[in-house]
Amino acid sequence: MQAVANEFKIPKENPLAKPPLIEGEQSFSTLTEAVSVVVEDKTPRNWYIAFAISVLGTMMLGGMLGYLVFTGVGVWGNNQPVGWAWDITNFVFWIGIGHAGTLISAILFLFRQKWRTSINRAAEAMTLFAVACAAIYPGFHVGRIWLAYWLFPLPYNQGMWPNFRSPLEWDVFAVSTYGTVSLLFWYVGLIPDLATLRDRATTKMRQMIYGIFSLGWRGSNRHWQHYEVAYLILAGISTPLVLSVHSIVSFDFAVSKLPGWHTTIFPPYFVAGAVFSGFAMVMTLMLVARWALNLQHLITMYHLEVMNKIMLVTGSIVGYAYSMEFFMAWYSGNMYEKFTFFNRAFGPYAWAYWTMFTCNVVSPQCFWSKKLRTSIPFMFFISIVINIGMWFERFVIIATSLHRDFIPSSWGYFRPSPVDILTFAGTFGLFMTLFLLFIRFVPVIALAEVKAVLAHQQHKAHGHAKH
Amino acid sequence: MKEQQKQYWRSLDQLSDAPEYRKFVEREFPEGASELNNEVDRRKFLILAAAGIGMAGLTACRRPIEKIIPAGGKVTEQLIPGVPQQYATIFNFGGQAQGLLVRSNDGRPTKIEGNPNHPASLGATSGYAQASILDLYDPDRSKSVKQGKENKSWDDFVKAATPLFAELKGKQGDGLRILAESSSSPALRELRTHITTAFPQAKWHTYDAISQDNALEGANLAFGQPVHAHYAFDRADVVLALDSDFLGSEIGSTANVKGFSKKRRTGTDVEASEGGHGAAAAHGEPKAEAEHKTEAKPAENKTEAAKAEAAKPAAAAETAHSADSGKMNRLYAVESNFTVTGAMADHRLRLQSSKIGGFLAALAKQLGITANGLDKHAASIGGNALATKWVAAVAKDLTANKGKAVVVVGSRQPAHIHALAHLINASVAGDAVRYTRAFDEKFESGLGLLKSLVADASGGKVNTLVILGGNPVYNTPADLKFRDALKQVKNKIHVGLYQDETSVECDWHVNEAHYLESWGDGRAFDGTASIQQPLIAPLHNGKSAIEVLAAVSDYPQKSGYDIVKTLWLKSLGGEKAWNKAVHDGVIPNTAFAAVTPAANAGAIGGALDAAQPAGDGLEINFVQDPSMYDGRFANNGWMQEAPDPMTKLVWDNAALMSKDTAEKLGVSNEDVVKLSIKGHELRLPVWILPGHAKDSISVALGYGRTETGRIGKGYDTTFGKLFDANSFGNTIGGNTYLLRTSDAMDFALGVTVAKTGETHKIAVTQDHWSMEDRPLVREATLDDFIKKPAFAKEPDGEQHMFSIFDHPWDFKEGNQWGMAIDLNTCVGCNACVLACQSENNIPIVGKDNVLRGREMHWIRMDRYFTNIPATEFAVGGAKPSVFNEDHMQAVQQPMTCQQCEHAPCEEVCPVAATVHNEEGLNTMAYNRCVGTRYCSNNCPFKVRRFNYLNWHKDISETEKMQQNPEVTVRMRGVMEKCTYCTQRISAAKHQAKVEGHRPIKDGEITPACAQVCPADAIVFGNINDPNSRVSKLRKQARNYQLLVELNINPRTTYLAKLRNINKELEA
Repeated sequence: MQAVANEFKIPKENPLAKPPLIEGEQSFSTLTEAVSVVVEDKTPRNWYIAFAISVLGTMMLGGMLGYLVFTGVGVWGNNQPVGWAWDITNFVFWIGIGHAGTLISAILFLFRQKWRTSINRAAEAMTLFAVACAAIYPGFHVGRIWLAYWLFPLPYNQGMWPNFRSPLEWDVFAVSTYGTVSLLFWYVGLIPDLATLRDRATTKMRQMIYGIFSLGWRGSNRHWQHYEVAYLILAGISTPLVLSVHSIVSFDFAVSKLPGWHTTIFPPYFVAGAVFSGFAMVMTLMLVARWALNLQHLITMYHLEVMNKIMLVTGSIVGYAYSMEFFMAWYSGNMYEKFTFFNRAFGPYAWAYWTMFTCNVVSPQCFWSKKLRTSIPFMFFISIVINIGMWFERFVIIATSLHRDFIPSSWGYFRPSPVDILTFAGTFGLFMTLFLLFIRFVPVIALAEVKAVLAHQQHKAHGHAKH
Repeated sequence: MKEQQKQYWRSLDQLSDAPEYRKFVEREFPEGASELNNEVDRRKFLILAAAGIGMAGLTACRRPIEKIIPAGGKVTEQLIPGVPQQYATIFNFGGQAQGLLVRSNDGRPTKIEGNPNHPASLGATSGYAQASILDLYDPDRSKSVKQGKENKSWDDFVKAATPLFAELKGKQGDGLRILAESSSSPALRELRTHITTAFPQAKWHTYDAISQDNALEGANLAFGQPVHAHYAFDRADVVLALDSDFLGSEIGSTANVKGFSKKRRTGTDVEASEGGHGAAAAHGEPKAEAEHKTEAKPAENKTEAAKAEAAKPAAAAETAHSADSGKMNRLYAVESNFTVTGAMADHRLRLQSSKIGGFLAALAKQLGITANGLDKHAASIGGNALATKWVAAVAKDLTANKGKAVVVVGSRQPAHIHALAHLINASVAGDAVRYTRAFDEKFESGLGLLKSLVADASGGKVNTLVILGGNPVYNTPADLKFRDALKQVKNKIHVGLYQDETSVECDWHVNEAHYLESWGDGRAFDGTASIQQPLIAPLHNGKSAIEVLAAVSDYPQKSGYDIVKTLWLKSLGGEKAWNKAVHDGVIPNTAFAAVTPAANAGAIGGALDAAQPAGDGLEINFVQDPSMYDGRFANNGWMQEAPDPMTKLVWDNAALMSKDTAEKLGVSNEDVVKLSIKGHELRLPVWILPGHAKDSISVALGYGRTETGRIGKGYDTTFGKLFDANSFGNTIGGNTYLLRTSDAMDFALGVTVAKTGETHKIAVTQDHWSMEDRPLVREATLDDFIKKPAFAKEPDGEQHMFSIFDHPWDFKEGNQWGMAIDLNTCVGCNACVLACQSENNIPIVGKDNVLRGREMHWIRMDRYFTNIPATEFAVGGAKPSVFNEDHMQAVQQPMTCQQCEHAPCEEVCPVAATVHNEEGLNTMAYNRCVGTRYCSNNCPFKVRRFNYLNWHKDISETEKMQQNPEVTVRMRGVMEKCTYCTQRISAAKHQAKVEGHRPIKDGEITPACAQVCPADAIVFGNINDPNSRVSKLRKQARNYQLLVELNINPRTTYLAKLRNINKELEA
């Protein structure tokens, strides 16, 4: 195999040729081993430590939400005029994080971007967990949580439909559809790998559980045929969702009357921002996972570099959107629009605006440099910076638009309460808890797909050698 | 006969009349059905039960045996459960009475309205009156008689007082002193006469922390007798207000604003306002009519309808604004503090209070008035070029408007300044100033009386002191050391609503009955007398002042009812007249006759000569607080959270100063400074009020209470502490009485300010000065308005509106509700804010939550500062770059839900909890709201209010009694807002339906804000009816909508503000 790999080595002068997606001397069995061992080995101590911290965070989240439910939304810092603050900021932030997962699994699948295979499983899982974190906020930000089910078109004694004109209502459908399809997509992709784990299982318990969830997968030709079709269909369904979910989330703002919210650029701008932040989050997680789980040969520098390029592109789109918002505010001639954008950059929340601008627009530009683009510590740092920046983007859009709108007498300022901060920290606990459970019990890498890539790679290599 | 009758018998036993048969007949029940072997048999049980129920009914009867009579057209025989009734009564405040109509829901007074028939009310009330109802239900009110700290009963008190007063009587009353607040009540006067007759050596002292003494003393000086001056602002074309907040905090401002606003309307407005006024005068009536079953309509209503009919052809004849006469009064204000009067003024000069006398003297000189001492006083403003320019210009204007020009001097200015103003008015005012005799025939200075009391008490000459109301330990001048003097008094009796700083120093405390619980009487400023009728039996068995006096002085009548009725029957003549007086709320022909005293220039000159003109230096002003008054509203949550009209400050007082003064002193907002004067010190935070007089600091009285209820100490049953770690110890604000000395009750020079390095967080509801050039308040000079009447619509430009939404209603049929708010008459007095709070069960949130921006007021007063004198078609506020405090102006804009036809809030509510109805109301279904707050975010006016926490949690049982049963109490997590008082609209609609589906008459529905507005600036009605007042106002040239470009089409419109500029003063 060494020979194959060496033979495959790309001459530097050919810029179009791509580096291998799987490094080292690999076979199907080594791949299976590498991925399954993560799940099958004795649980490492570090996992327990990380899990304990995450569970504590989750419990804190539960405590904070309980306090909120029993006391009122007033435990947060929200006020008049800032009716939405960290709640919806965090909602949009988490939903955005989720986007990379769907993008990688659906769109890149349809575009036959084989490099996705190493990261798509984890990215999809991340999507699901991010959506779970995101869903907390619209549920709990309402004043009467126990009646939040009224947002669903259910038949009950009031005999009333929800208001289908409200973007928040569209959100209900968009996010729930997105969550459902993401779950299905992730699960369907998992089936062959769960079967692998079932087959390798040494305990009755494992056999039972993996057996149930692998739905009787035997890897027959017919199974594979159905599987591929189902996966393709789900990819087809997910693809518009990647665009629609964040477009609809952006409608919460774009459809309103508020200067700073009321703008048509929001749907593409939000989608680009979501992909941007999603990739940054995937990057953060993958760098850690790759190091902790010894998957360097599967998640290669090539993967990381491609993701960095995507961040560079989406970061630039976001930067363009920021500038275009300013241009439009000036071009509109509308005094309220003009003021809102002037106030963003130079008002009381200027610090937030410039944090956002530096993190999102300036920092990814470093990825023009190949050296920085391939430096793991640097990209880790930048991925975190981008996530901070993208959180601030949502905060800037939501809070700075609200805090000073049409009537100056109503202007205010928002300060988060400790409960705001602890709730947000708690969602990270929940996210990490779910993610740790995921890497412990589910194959982190889509084995079946990687194997296909390996086969393709080997086939290509052989074919190349013949000529 | 008997023998001839046939005998019938039932059985042989009967025939034989056997004892067994006798027994059988006597037994009610057949054999076997044994009776209870009990002494109480069935009959007896029923007898006892019937008696028991009857008696139980008697004990449960809390309705006063004294008959109270509901106001309104027709008096119903019985209460109809669930149908509220209105009762006329009065609110004695500041020594004068304001007539009220108080709504009672099943025996609970719930809302205060003005009595249209009462001269001091004319249908409106002050904010103080609005808030006074909350005091009735205050759970921290004094609930029992106390001896020391021990709870006692009224009988205990009478038992203890009887021998004491008998002993005093033996000594001819030597050592008996009574300290009361000034009052216009004839009944109290009668008791006073009785006491001073029965106890000839006793002495009656009157003291008010905020008093009218300067004015009375000034009149005494000018005319040789204390007279009340009444300014007919509806006849005055030029008004000069000198340190006088006659539109705001001065007593009697309600009537002042009523009169003044008539002169603020131009042209068509006058027509509309006449109709409006008629309807306003009948404000109380339609409500009453809606509430009582009426076959016969109230007479007042008929006249109103007739008036409206009469006004119709005139109005129809007018084209939109051709009838604008271009006539409007002109108000000059010269003041130190920035008051709402100053904000209303066409021209305002900021001047230290101590220099205002100099200004008036210079003006008098300029007007050619000669009196001794004028030159001396006039010289004190010699160095002030702007003031000198003003003197010339104002003098010219006063002369030009002779007979229709009025000079009003504020109650904080010394007597000789008042006297000088009378002298000027004598030459310029004509019939715009009227005089009537004061309540007291002889003038006695309250401060003088207090000083003599303190001197006597310290000298051990006072054996028994009865303190009737008031809180002298707290609010007397610091240098008199009243508390120490009080310790020398042997028997101290305090009668008051609260356990306060004074009651804890007294031996006996009698819990006073609230005015809505007790009988009394009082006179309006012009002498018109009214009966104070209770609406509820005393909640805590309190006694009124007259009852206490009657109990200790062998007065023939003991109960308030008997005292008042016996007294008034003498002059009224009979029961019928008494009933009418109680029903109407005013007693006809009791107003004092006008007198025409001649001003004595010599005496005035003498006083002027004797007074020393003020020097230079930093000045401190002790000003009345628009919320706390003299401190009595400290435990009133509505008042603590009512934003100050100018500073928008809540839950605190501060050292108010201008920006240039603050810069000079090197202090900024929220810096805590130590103010020292004459050895007295106080720490207060600084708050900058742009346009305040230079080198002058205003501090509000009434804060820093130490002995008060939970609210007043910053606690609340719901949230524990209303604010954390207050750097002011455990009080709300600082007690400025500690700086007030008897030689400088109103202002003093020579205060020093030292920075302490601490800061104190101040809660303001509107922390913004400028309107950011936005066309919110639109304003022009009168001249520019005449040139271009439609100036107010210019900022909107040409709008091409198109909506993608089909509205379910086209709003063309039936009632279409709308509101017009005239910014030219609104003075920003805050009464609407409090009335709305009272009507709509609006909670308070406490200082911390105000700091977080969570106050709940449905209507707020937006105040913006501007300092460009309204130039040609200027709209919007000033840019901060042209900040010039010498030309600082301010505007007020009442802001509440605008009821947009295309309401942005409705579009975004996911659960359709806020929807439009066919009458154009943007309604709220509170029980449908889940609380996403999206509606509030999308509301361009930010008038929606969210219940972030449960503001009603643990509300006391008594406070619950205040709440309006017609309005839902909103739970936490629910959005709320103004709906034009939809409950009142429904009530009127029901009534109209009951009366044969008749159309609703214009003026029949009045929202709480419009009802209380003394300026009649808020007009509500059906915009679909071309003859309604609101339609007429909307047709006016000055009418505009806010944020037209959003295509929201608000139902509330504004009428632009005008300023009548004197060209000579234009900068």
